[in-house]
Amino acid sequence: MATHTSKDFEQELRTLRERLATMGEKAAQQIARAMKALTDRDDDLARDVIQRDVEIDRDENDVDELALQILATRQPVAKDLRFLTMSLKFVVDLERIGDLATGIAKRALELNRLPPLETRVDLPRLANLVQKNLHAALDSFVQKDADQATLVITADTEIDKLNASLFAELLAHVATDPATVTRVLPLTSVCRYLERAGDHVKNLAEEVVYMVRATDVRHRPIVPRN
Amino acid sequence: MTVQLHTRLVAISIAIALIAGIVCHLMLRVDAAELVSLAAVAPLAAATAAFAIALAVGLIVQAMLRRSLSELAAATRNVVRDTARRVPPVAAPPEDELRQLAEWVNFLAEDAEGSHRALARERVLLATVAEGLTQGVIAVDAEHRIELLNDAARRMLDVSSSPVGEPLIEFVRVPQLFELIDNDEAATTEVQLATGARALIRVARKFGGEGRVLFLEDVTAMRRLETVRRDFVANVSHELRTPVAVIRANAETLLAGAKDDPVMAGKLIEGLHRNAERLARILADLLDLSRLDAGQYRLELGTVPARGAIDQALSAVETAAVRRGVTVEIAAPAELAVAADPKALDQILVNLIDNAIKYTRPEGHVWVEARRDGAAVRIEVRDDGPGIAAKHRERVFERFYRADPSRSREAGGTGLGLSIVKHLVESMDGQVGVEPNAPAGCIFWLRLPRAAGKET
Repeated sequence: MATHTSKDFEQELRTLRERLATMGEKAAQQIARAMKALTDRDDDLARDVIQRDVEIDRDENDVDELALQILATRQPVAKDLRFLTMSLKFVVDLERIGDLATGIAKRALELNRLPPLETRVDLPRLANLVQKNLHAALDSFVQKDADQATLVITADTEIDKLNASLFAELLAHVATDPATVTRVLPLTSVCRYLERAGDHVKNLAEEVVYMVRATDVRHRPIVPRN
Repeated sequence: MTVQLHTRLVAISIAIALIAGIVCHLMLRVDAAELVSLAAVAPLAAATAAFAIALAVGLIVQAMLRRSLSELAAATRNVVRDTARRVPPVAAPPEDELRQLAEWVNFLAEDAEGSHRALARERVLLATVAEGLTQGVIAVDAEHRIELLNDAARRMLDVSSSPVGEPLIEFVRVPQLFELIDNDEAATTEVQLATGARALIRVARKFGGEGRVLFLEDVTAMRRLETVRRDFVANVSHELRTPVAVIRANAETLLAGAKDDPVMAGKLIEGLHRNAERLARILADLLDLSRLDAGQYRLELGTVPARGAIDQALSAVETAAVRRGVTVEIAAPAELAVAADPKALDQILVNLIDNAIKYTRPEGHVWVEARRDGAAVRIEVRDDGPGIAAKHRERVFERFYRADPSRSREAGGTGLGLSIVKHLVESMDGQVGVEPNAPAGCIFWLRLPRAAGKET
């Protein structure tokens, strides 16, 4: 009887882990598709991104419910307890990343109604960095790899730096050609959304470090091991 | 020592004990009075001696039997560990039980060895089949651990390794795939993978056990072809409808009375003529394409000097260049020659140069350059116009595909020119493509085999 219960418990934890990882993948896909809608000026794709946010919201509810149910019925301790409390935070960050993708898609729709803007501001590069970091964070999560998670946390400074320089470039664009302001403003929003998505990715990585090492690395400088 | 011998010895000792017992009994009955003193001791001593002998023999036999059995057990253990080994033969008559036991153990070992070999063969066969499939195959157990992830699946999912027994989620995170695995029913779904490919994923319950088997089929090419076909039907109807609508409207206006107004009639008839010409051009191009498709377009390959072909093509489009103020520059070594059909090559070059003149900016530049490229000749037509966006670039060779519909129709194309160019070039064992030109415009290039015997 005891082994049966423990097997069920293992199964529940495995389901939770899979749900979180695939939800993260959905969020990454949403960012990629929103950026494609923006660069290709594709209204249909942008609308699809906005519509699919419902799926991520639903995932958030499901994961919350599952985690709470496991907490209530199994009363886990030690690393299982850390994993469960972590998943409750993890899911919030993933849902926020999904929302930011929706934000990008909405700005894309606005921009598509205006004439195209010739600009060399490389927002796709920022988006690629964020996505790469998100994938690395998800990898560190499924592989329980705190070292990789630490790398994700340090890589966030690169995202912040690029965001700052792109933001300055966009402002310079407006300064040289004030008539483009209505088209540049939505792009500054996109820039900010990506930076905030990057921050949520950093949160995910910090949560992974906590889950694996039981040390809280939030709000303190990271000292990589070795 | 064998079982049968042991049993015989036991039987003999029991017999001795019995005989000793009977003798004692008889002696007691012979003459009780005479044998009083002897009778008191002798029978008891004899019985005791007989019993002791029987016991000793029995113990020796038991020890020997136990040793033989433990030897057989040790040999059997070795066989279990390695089915290639055998129990050593027992030197005894065939009906001996220990010998029979050893033979049965060997028989079992042979059977197990055969089964192992068959199983290994089957496993190799299964792995070979799975790896050779173009379809991706994933098998997972009830705990979602990888049991099989073949080469095609690894490629589609962009996974470098697939250790058997590890959780699938550590290597693959396609959300829909896990939804399918969790689903109890057999189901199919189409997903866009991270690599950009579209895949059809089908899930089946694993035969005779827990877990799932998933089949992945790459349908990217199929979906692309479907789009091309759908667009073709839509475009061909559109291209034909426009001139037909103009012809019908002009004819109706003429019938309604405009035929009596010389100024109006002239304009309307000119419109009729222009659109009838346009229809004829589209139909002629379509006919060319269908002939090329069917392989009925006769090409006669000969040696064509590149410079001469370019000059000839340019003369056909010179007026258009002058009208738009476009400068055309040619660079082609005089000795360079291609193996091509002269008429087809002319059609190709006219099409490409004409396009470049039409789509570059007014007062722009067009460069036509031919150069040696290994065993081939590469001809490039470059312009400094607005260029073609990346998403259109790969589709411009499709029938009726237009990067900018309003502009190209205005420029008078049928929408089939590049499609014909591609067909013609490929029919002459060449390749054609388009690249962006730096800093502006695009490069249409073609490679055709170099004509033999014209080495420099």
